Amino acid sequence: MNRVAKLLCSLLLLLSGLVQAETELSESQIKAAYLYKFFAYVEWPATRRQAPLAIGVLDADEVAADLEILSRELIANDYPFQVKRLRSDAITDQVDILFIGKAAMAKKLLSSPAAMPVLTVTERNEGLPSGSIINFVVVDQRIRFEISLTQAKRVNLNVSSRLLSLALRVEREDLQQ
Amino acid sequence: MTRACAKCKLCCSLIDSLWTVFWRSVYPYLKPFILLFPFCFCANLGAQERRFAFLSDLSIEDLGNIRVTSVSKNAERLRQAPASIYVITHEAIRRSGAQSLPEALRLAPNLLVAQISANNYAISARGFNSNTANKLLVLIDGRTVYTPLYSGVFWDAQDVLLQDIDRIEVISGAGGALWGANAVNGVINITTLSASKTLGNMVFAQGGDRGRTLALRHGGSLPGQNAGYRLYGKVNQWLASALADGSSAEDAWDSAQLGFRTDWRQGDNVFSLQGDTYSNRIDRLNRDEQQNSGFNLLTRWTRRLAGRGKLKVQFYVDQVRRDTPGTYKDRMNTVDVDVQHSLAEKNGRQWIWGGGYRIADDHASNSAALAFLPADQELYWGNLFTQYQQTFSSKVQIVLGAKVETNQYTGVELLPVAKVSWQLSTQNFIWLSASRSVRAPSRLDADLYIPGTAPYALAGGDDFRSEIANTLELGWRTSPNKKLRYSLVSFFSQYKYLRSVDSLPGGQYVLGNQIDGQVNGLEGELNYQPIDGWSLMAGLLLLDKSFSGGNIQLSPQGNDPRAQVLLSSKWKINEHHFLDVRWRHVEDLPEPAVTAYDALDMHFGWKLTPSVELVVSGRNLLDPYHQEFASGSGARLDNPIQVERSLDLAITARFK
Repeated sequence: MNRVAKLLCSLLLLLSGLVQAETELSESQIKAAYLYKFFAYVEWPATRRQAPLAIGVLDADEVAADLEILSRELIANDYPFQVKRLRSDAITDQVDILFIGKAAMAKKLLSSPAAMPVLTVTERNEGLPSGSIINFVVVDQRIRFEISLTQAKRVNLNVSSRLLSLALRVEREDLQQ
Repeated sequence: MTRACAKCKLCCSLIDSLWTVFWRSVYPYLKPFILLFPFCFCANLGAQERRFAFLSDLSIEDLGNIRVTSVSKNAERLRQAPASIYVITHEAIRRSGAQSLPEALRLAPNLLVAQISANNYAISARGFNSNTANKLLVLIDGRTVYTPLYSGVFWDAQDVLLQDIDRIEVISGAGGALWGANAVNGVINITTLSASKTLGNMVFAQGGDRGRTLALRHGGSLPGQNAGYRLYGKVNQWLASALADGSSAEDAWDSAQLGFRTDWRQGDNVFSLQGDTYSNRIDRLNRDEQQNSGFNLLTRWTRRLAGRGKLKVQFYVDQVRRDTPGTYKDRMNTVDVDVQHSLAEKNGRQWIWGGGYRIADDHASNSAALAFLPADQELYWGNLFTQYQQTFSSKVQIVLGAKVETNQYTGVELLPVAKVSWQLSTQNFIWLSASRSVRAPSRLDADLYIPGTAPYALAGGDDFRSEIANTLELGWRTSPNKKLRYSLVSFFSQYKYLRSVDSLPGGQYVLGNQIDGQVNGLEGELNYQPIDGWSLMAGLLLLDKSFSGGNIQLSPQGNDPRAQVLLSSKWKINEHHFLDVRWRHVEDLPEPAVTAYDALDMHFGWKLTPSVELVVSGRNLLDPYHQEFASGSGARLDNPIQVERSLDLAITARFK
């Protein structure tokens, strides 16, 4: 093998010996963790069904997969939950939190009647106006979120002030923010 | 030899040859792996792959403070692909100021790209490069563009609006089972952006020492979900190249192309309809100009199924007309239908199956110089394939696949593949693959007669059989940290029944399959991003070829360098400027001899306004001219065509 290749190989040898491994976390893993945590920061109406938390995912395979991993690995103290992968935007199928992926067209879902208190979460570039209650935004390589109180009120959900204080932006009917 | 006997012999000879090959040529190429392998483990000794479930213990504030890596889905898929694959992105093409597809292909370190003349390129992977290089499968949006006339690509007829290319996947290695016959040494898969991603108007103009280009594109959306269309037109005027003595090679050429694409989505279904039509004229020294034209129309339906399943049905028609006065004239009409079905993934198992049928109606008008006999010939290819993929919890994956193809020259061919890959840790991925690939005969192999009328000096290849390549590949991809990534792929390919020119007792020649070969090599790639906005890439290709049998002098198996090195630096100066520098070194070409050369290209980009961008490119800056290729015999070997130093300016303007 000629000199060039030998040189390259020894260089690679040196480099691999020197560097440290780093755990990398992906966007979908962080979003999955958020979705799970949002449940505790929302006051659900008394009419909420008596059943364990169900998180529905539409058109976001990676987040669904990460949620499934999370649901299997929770320790006893945390509350268990179910992950439901939804096929189309026609059904909400008894979910408490609904995550709608970037590519999905979910106009129908987001304008659903107030009878179903679902916490809708999106990851849209254009932001909240899409009709969801929480929208993920990536700011400086970190996942943050914005909240629409107007939408929350429409479906009878109260968002805890703690969560509001952590949001990047809160949209209210009365105050233009 | 009966068929059953042939298969048994094939198996035994394969095992036999692999063993000999191992001792003779494998060890030097295995050395890097043996040396570096222990370090994969060292970097991870004691560190277990951390499950991200610990995130549930963090508070919401903490979640908002974690920096994430934004690895795209495609990039993720590529890191775990058990293949030597390089992706030329839309962004890379834009920054390279490439004026044509072959120039864009120079960006791939695993391709050999050599310019022969103003309109002609020799492009191949893993050796066998020639002006009739025939071991590469090239697809544009799923449409096969290698010609059944000689199994190669007429690069002057493959124009695409480069600004609307989504990506070019260059896979070196046998792609038989999934892609088909002709994917012997590699596959180049060019995909354009869907119409909904190319909305608005774009004007592109480029001018300089090599020629001029003007392109216009109009894209709009259609009522409905994700529905769009685009129309484009492109004209090129290429200037003649120079010969070694400074005189003109008189190979200037013009081309014009029009095309459209429309896509629309309905629930889980996506439909596409696209087509192009082109025409070009190529000057020739002391001879009448060449004229070529063609068109194609393609329609595709993709449906998303449960659990990552997918169904794709595609149909296209294609016409290619070539007219080279004094040599040949040809019209080839092709109709192709393809189906691919990926079943839902279950417990780490996935099945993919598919099939296709292609018919080509070829009409050759022969000349005194050469003839394709019979002049009119109907060609067909049918194929059925299946692939099984299973992932085990320890991140080990096996892939088993096989394709069965038929063609009217040789009947049934089997192309099997077996791969095993192991994600050792989040940083290291290794794979081993073994495959059998086949180059089915083309008209040139079976039906070529020289001269055009009897008595013939070359009388076709009645018994021509498919060329076979048995390849063993060992690859390793590693990413020690976020800034550094590199891979090494070692390959050992045994070729059998390579095309040879055989002499018959009467003094006549026929085309046969007397040559066997062994090509071993190494493909390496390194990517390093020292700071945000500056990235470095190094690519290496090493080739070691040996042949036996037949008359090698009469039947050259490509003209390839022993090594090729690519180095590139991409620097994003600020939001409006970038500076890319690319250097390549290509070793000597042996027969006919071409001296080794170095070439340096520089590209400076300037975004004048958010919708107008300028790219100034300087190519081959180190020498006023150099030669990149030579093939055949006598063809101007004493006064060859040179590739000259050039400067050009490209302007892209986008507006509603």
